[in-house]
Amino acid sequence: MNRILGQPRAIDVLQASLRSGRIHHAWIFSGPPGVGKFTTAVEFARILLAPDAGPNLSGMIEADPEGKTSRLIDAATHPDLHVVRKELALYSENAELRRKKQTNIPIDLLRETMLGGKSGEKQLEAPAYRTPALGHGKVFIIDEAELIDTTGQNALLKTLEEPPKQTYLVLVTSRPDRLLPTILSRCQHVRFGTLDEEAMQQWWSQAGMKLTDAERDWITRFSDGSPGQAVIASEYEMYQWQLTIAPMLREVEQGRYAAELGETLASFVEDYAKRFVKQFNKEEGKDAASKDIANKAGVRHVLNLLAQHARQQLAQAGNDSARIERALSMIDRIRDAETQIHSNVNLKMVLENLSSQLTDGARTAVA
Amino acid sequence: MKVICDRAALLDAVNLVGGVVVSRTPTPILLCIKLTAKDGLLILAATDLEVGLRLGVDQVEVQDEGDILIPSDKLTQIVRASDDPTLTIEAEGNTVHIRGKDAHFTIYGYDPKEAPEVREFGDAAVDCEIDSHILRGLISRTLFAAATETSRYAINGVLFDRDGKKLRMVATDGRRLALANGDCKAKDGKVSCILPTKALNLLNKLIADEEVNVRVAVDDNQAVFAIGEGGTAAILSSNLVEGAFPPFEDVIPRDQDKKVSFDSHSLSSAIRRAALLTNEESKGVRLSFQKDQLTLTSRAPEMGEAEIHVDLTDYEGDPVEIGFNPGFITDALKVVDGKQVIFEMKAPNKPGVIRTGNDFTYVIMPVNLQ
Repeated sequence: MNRILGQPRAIDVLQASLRSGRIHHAWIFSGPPGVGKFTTAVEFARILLAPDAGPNLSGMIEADPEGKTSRLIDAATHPDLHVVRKELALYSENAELRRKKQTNIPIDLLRETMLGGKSGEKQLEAPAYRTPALGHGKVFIIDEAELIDTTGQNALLKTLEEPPKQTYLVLVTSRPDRLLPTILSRCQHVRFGTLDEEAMQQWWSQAGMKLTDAERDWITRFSDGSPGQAVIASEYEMYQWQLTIAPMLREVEQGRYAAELGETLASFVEDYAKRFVKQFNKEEGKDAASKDIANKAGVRHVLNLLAQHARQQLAQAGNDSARIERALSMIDRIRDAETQIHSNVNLKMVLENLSSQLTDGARTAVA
Repeated sequence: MKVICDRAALLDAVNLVGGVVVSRTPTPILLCIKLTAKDGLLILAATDLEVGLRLGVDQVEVQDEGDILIPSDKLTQIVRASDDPTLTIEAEGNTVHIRGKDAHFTIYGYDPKEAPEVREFGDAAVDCEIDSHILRGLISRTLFAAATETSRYAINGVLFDRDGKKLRMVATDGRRLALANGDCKAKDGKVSCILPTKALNLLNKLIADEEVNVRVAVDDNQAVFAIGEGGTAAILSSNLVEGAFPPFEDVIPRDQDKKVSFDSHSLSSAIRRAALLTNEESKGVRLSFQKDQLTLTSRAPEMGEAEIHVDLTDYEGDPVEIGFNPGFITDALKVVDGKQVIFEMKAPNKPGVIRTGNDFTYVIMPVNLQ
């Protein structure tokens, strides 16, 4: 677990539980996207499944990174580590599930990968209710657990309440608020935060990305302590986005209407979604990515870009109350736009509306 | 690794072992068969992480020992499509060369260390030995009754229960229960575990048309079956079903006072005909037992009715009228191989029992026809 950067509190909780030997069977790892929740879940599983895991010289419980368990986990072939994620639907035995666009984790996928039962015409075995193949327990990690639909969450309750022996479940999520209260109450909750500056520095030194200093500084600020976000920002060249809209935002701050801003933001979203879908389909070799999900993710990144700008304005405002007012109003408008996106308003419309409102907001603040 | 092998023998083995490999997974290594050349044998092994199968082929000449992981579908296709009497398989790092008389295939394989191991029998302690025809009978007389959709996971498998030389297998879905008895070679002591239906289906396939000795080993997590002897034995290993099997002995009635014997074919025919006029809502067939006659009646609302008569010669007890799901009775009659069956009852609201000698007991809950 010493590979996990910048999550001392979460690691402490898990290590304390491992040391006590009384390990709760159901866990929720929650926190912002891209901060290492899933990586930690896999490390946790590594320790739980390794027969020879024990304290190292610093007292941390670790599994032998060269051992058989680690080798199989790294090759994704460990028979007792089951990772459930929405993309697994592409490999489902159920043709209907395979054809569906990847938007959530349907109950049929949970049945196939964990719970057993009937899916379509087929009777499924229940992997959660089989003895572990290697005899040292089994671990189920559900990534993006907030994507499990309500029926699926309800179906999980029984297993969360009375799991088979030596079975551990880890629900990884950035939106614990979307899990049923009945699920939350059955799990031990470990919260992950963003990485502090030092941890981010350490991460950059390991990441080995070729970036200019300006780019790197900007991405560090933009990603706000989330290495996952930093990877996405550099992959999708969001630094360029920032350069493109910077002059427009300056116009807006002067209270002048920047006609192209809305359109430019929409084009970022469009490009992002296209690239995302293309890459996803290429990786999986199938036409399964959901354009809708990609669009929404794109808008989130664009809004994040604006919010980052507003935060920076706020930080630089000092005692200038008009400037503070402007930045705060910008943050409010961005939040409104986010709510609208969640309620399925047309994305382009939201972005156009936002850009004109930002100008209005700046005008009022200036006045 | 380098081996020259008889293509026909290899094809049989590849077909069997390839059947275990999952058809879809994001992890390419799990789509592979592991080939190991050792001690004059070529051993094929594959697992879908629940069930594992190893098979030794001895019609080979091992020139270099070693192992390799090769995608199952390509190996199968190549061995099947080729028409040479022998094929040479040679590994070079993680790459496999398969050569025929006029063909050379290069297949990119994987590092065998990254694949989960498929169990050997060598490390297991033999619990008992069973003749394959006995095991076949035990499986066929129980497997059909295992639950298919229920959240009581323990009854989704078949109980394997050995006490001394007596072996029992039991399956139930909560509405009927099948119990089959057989003999095995074993020392004293008891062993009990729940086998998943998937493993039993595969085991049934492996022993389908061979009279062999089957060695069984059971530990906390797995059951391992060795079919045949020596290096060419097929080794099937399977995870077990978690949980406790319900106390089935309490379910088998001991005080049935109405008994009659049937030829299983004639009873089966009568039930199947009566079942023609049942539907989703009225699944039951009414069996009315008199001294010398059984009358089966059924009714499908808005469609019609059926009445079938069967003569009885040895009915013991008072007349009784009782309803059953016809599918449950015919399921059991299908697996008793045309033998005489004894049908036992007590009352319309008490379970019925079908027996053939001591080796098969089948309990069916009645349905209410009022």
